[in-house]
Amino acid sequence: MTAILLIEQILNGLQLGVMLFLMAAGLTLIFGVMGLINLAHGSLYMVGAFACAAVAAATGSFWLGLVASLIAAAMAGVIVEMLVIRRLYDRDHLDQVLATFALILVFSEGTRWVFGSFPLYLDVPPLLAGPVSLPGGIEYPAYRFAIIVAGLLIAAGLFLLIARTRLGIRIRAGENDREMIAALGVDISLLYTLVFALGAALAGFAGAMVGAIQSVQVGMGEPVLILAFVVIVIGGIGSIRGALVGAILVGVTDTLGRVLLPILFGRFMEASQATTVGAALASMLIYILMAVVLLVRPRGLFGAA
Amino acid sequence: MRRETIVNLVLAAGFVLVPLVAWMIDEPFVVTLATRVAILALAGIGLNIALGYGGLVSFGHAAFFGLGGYAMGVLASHAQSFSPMLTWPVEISGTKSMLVIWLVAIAVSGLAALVIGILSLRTTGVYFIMITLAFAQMLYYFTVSWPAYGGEDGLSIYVRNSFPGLNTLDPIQFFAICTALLFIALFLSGRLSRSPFGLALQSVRQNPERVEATGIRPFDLRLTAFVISGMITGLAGALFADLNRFVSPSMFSWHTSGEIMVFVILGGVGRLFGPLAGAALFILLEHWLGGFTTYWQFLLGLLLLGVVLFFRGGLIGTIAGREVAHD
Amino acid sequence: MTDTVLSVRNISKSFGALLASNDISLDLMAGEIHALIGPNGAGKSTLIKQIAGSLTPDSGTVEFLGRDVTTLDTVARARMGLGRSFQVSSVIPDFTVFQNVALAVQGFRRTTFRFFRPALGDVAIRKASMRHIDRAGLAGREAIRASDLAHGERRRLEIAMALALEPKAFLLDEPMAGMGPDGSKEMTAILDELRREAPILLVEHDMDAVFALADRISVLVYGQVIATGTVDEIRKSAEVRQAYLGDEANA
Repeated sequence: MTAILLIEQILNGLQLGVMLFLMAAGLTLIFGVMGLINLAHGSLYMVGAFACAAVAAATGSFWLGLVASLIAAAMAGVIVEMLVIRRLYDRDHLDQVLATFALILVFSEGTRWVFGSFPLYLDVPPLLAGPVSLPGGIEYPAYRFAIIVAGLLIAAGLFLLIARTRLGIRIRAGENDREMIAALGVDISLLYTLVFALGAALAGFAGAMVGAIQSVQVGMGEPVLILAFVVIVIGGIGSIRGALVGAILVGVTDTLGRVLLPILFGRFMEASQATTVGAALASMLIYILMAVVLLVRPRGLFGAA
Repeated sequence: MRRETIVNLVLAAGFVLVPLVAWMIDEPFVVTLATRVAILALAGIGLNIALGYGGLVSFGHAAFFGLGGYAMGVLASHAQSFSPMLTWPVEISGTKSMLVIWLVAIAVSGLAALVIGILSLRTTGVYFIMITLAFAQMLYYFTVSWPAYGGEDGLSIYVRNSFPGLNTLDPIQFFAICTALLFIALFLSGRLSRSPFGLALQSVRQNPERVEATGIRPFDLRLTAFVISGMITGLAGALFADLNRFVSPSMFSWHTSGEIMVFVILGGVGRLFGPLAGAALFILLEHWLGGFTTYWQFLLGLLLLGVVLFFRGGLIGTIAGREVAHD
Repeated sequence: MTDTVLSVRNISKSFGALLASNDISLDLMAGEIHALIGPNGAGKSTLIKQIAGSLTPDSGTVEFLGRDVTTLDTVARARMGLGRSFQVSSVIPDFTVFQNVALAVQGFRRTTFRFFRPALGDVAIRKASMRHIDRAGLAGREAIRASDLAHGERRRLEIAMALALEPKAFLLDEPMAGMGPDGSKEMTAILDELRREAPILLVEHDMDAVFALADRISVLVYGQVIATGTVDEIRKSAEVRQAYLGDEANA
C-alpha cells in the first residue's frame, strides 16, 4: 500500500462521502422540517439516474441529461409530495415507513415496467473522461474529482441557503416549531413542497452523477438509501453540518475499510482467510460505527439533545 | 360474540379447511402455499408483539428470521455432511431433528434479541428504527462475506428435517406441523395481550410517562417484549428454511424486514389474527396478481399505500371495526 | 404529628439563562394539605418535576420518607410511594377506567411480569381497583374507555391511579384544571378525604379550593418561595398581594 494508492483511496472515500451527503442532506432536511421519514428517497435517486441516461442517450449530451435529472427528480418529488407525502406529516413513524416503503415498490416496479430489467448505459462526458493531475504526482479520474468538487460546492450552497436566505430562515424556524411559523403566516404547504422538491433534486443529481460510474438500474437507490440513513443518524437528524461530517466519515471509513482491513488481517492470518474476514468486517464496519456513535451520543454527533 | 372473534374463527377455519380440501383433491401446491402463509404469519406474530402491542417499530426483525434460518442451516448442513461443528473442547455434531433445531433457533434469536434490545432500546423514534435495521444489515453482510456456509449463494439442505412419527416430506404433514406451531403462537400471543404484562406493555405504547408513574420501568417491559418477539420470529425462520430446504443471506435483508411489517399492517396492527390475515392476503396477491403481471409488486405498493392512508385498521380492522376494550 | 414526609432543600435549576428554580425549600408534613400557588410562569411545574424525579436539580436535595431521593428517577420514587397526578391528563386512552386503575394496582403489587393469567381476572386486583375507582367518585364508569370520559372524570381517573399506589405522599398538579364549579366541589370533597391517606402537595390555581383545603400555603413567584404559612397568614400577607394582584393588575 503505497502513499499514492492510499491517497487515491481517500479521494474515493471523499467521492462516496460527497455523494452520500447529497442524499443525506435531503433526508435530514425533510426529517428536520417535516418530521417525515422518507424511504422513497432512494427511488428519487433512481429517477434522476434514469432521466439522465434516457435524455443523454436521446440527445447525445451528458450535460442535458444532468439537467433533465434535476428536473425529473424535482417533479417526481413534487407529485409524490402532493399526492401521498402530505397526508403523512401528522402520522406516526410506522405509517410513514410503510407508506414510503410502498412508494419504493411503486417506483421500482414502475421503472422496470417502463425501462425493463436491464441496466441503461450512461457514459462519462468526454470533457471529464481523462485523468487530472494532482500535486504529489497523483493521477486521479477527472470525473470523480469533478464529483467531489461539485458536491462540496453544493454543500457550500446549501449552507448559504440555510443561513442567509429567507427560505433558509423559514426552514430553520420550521425545524424548531412547526405550528408557530404557520401562525406567523408562512405558507407551510408551499414550504414543505419546496423542501421535499429540493431534497428530491439533490437525490436525483446524485443518482445521475453516480450513474456514469456505476450502472443505471432498478434498485440502485436502495443500498444508497440505507447508507444515507446511517449518515444522518451518525450526523444527527436535522443537521446539515452533521450530514456532511457523517457522510464524509462514512464514505472514507467504508472505502478505506474495504482496502485496509484485509491487509491488516493479512499480517497475522493466511491470505485467503484474511480476505474473507477483512471483507466481512469491512461490510459491517459502518453499521458498527453507527451503533457505537448511538451508544455514546443517542442523538447523533450534531443532533438536538 | 364480538365481530372480531367471528372474523378470527372464520379465518382460522378457512385456513385449515382450504389446504385439507386441496390435499384431498390432490393439489399439493396449494398445501405448500398454505404452509408458507403459516410460517410467514408466525414471523408476523412475533413482530406484532413488539410492534403492535409494544409500539416498537423494529425495522430489523429479519435479523431473527435469518438467525433462525441459519440455525437450521448450520445444524442440518453439518449433519448431512457428517462433519462435526465443534471438536474442541467437546464434540458437537449437527442434527436434523426439528425439535432440537427449533430449540436452538429460539435460543439463538432470543439471545440476539436480548443483546440487540439492550443496545437499541436506549434510543427512540427514528434512531431506534435505524439501529435495529443496522443490526440486521450487519448480519446480512456478515453472512454474505462468510463462505463457510455458502456466502451469497446460500446453503442447500437436501432432505427436510425430521419430526418423530411423521413423514415431513409429505406436504400436508409439514403443513400440520407449521399450523400447530402457528396456533400455539396465536394462543400464547392472545394470553399475553390480556396478561398483566400485556396490559402494561400496551400502556407503555400509549403513554410511557404514565406507566413510569405507576412504578414500572418502560425499558424492562420493552426489552422483554422484544426478546419474546425475536424468539417467535426466529422459530419462523427455521421453519421457512426447512420449507424451502434453503437458507441464504436474503433472509436478513431489509426487504424481508419490510415484508414482515407489510403482513402485520395489511392484516391489522395489534390484532391477534392480523399477521395471519395479512400473510394470507399477501401470498394470495403474490400468486393471483403475479399470474397477471410480473410487475405485481407495483399493485402491492398501491394497495399498501391505500391501507396506510385510508384503511388504517388493516383487513381485520376494516371488517371488525374498532377494537373492543377487554374486560 | 410533626413527621416530615417530603422535604425540598435549596433546590435550584437553570435552563440556560433562565433561573427556573431559585433556592427553593419547603416541607410536606404528615396529615396536611400543603398548597403551592403562584402566577403563571413562576416555576411550579419545574418544581413538581424535580420532586417527582423527571428533572434533576442543579443543586439542592429532595428527601422523601427520610431518604435522599435526589438522584432517583420517577420509577424509583413511585415505588417508594410517591403518588402523582399530571397537569395535563395523562391516562391510557384506549383502555377503560378499570384497565387504567388495574395497571396501577398491578404496578404497585409488583405483579406486572406475569404472562398467562388474564390481568383483569385476578380477584384481588379487581377488588382493589374497584375500591380506588369508588373513592375517586367514578363508580359505574369503570367500563368506559378513558378517551371517552368527560374532562372532569379523566381528572378523577388520575386521582384513582395515584390512589392505587397506596402512596405515602401525593403530588397533585392542578387536579381542578378545566373543571366547572360542580366538578371543583366534588374534587374538593375527594381531596379532603384523601388527606387522611397521605399528605398532599397540591399545585392549584383555583383559589376557592386552595383556601378550603389547604393547611399551609407556599407562594412561588419567579422561581422563589416568597411566603409560606397558614391560609390566614397568606391572605393577609402584603408581599403575596403585591406579587399576585400586582401581577394581575398589570396583566
